Amino acid sequence: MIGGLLEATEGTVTVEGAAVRGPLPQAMAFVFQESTLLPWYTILDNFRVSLEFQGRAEGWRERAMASLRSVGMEQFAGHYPRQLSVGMKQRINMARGICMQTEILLMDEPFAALDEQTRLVLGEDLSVLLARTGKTIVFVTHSLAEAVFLADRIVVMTARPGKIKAVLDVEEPHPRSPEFMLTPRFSEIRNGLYELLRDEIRSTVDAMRIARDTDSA
Amino acid sequence: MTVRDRVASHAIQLLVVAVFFAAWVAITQAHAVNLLLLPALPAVGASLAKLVGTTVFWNAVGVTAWTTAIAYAISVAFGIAAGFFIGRSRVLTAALEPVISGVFAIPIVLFFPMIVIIFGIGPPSKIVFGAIYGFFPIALNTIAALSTVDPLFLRSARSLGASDAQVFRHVYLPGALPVIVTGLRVGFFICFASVLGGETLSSASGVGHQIARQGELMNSAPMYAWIVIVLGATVLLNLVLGAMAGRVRQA
Repeated sequence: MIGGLLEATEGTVTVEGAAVRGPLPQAMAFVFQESTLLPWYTILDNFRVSLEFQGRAEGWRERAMASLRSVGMEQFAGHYPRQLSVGMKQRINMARGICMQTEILLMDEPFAALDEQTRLVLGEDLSVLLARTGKTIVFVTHSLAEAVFLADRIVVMTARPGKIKAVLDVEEPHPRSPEFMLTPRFSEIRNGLYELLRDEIRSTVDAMRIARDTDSA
Repeated sequence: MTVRDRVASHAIQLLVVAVFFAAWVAITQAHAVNLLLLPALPAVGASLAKLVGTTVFWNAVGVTAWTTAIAYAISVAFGIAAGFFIGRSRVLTAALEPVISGVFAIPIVLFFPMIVIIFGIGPPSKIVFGAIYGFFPIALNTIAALSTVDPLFLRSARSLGASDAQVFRHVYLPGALPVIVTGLRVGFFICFASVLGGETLSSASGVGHQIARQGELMNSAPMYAWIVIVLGATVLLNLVLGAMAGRVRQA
């Protein structure tokens, strides 16, 4: 809904005062849970095509290479997506999101398919990018640690129907180092989040159990 | 497949061809079958050698090649256009895909006399007949191909602001191409067979007409010589189209 890919049944989403009624490629870029790099194009061509879609193709090569450099992937510009690991592809998807030069970046569980170590490294990279670019990033995650490590503001959602349950601020400057995760403040926020979510998780599990029992009855 | 496996598979293919010709020679030498039904291989070879230098041969090959080329071009244009138009909509696919499959199952050859009445016994009736038959596998494969394009790529392209033309050019077409190419290959051979079949049934020119004419005259060696020409052309075209399809799938 924020990205304009779904219509709101109630209420409005506004970006810079204007209601969102469809994708706003000049204002918002996406990074999806799965890689959206087109497999028939090289990485560099994926950047070119994406910038053509957006209507900002001027100087695409320099901008693409600069974005790839920012995530340490410039040597893979000529590769096809199939030649890269899941983590590398997601790193490149992140770079493409940055290359779009939008004020807002929507990231829908971008690290969900990655192993723990890669998630941590990409999280650090993202924190550095946040500090460098100052973009507004809306980051959806189920990982409490990821939320605390990355967010300036955490919006906790209820179980279905999803509503805002709480909003927490994390006052720690970016870029954040992994040491932040060892601090008492980090544990305190993380535990607070878990307390807020425990009832929601239980009601989701109960709803799933009822649905399963109804189906099998 | 390893190089060794590939060599082994080619050896088996050559062996099948060798067994076929050996059986032909053995059957004719043993006079197991009337020579009118199956002439001796050397007699067919001699007919073939004689035929290749004649204007009759080149005229017939030219007519069939042009007829097939035009019929195929029409079936490709209409098949891909219809496939894209239908395949992009779930509603249209659900409504029309079974209709196209159903019509394809009908023996369209039943309508060939009507096509001849309308378009005459010249190449136009064979063009129409071949184009109709070639249309179906191309359209059906194009519809199926579009369903193989990952919806996430479409959503991503839309989120980036891609226009319909850009989505077609950069997402649908390359994403669907491997399956479309399979349809193009199948469509070609169905189109080619339909043109030849049409020429055999009712025509005044073309390779199919020559086969039917030699059959009617009971000139079995020249008739087999024409058939060998068709078989050779089919094998060659299959190799070329197969290699092209393989390259597209690897890309």
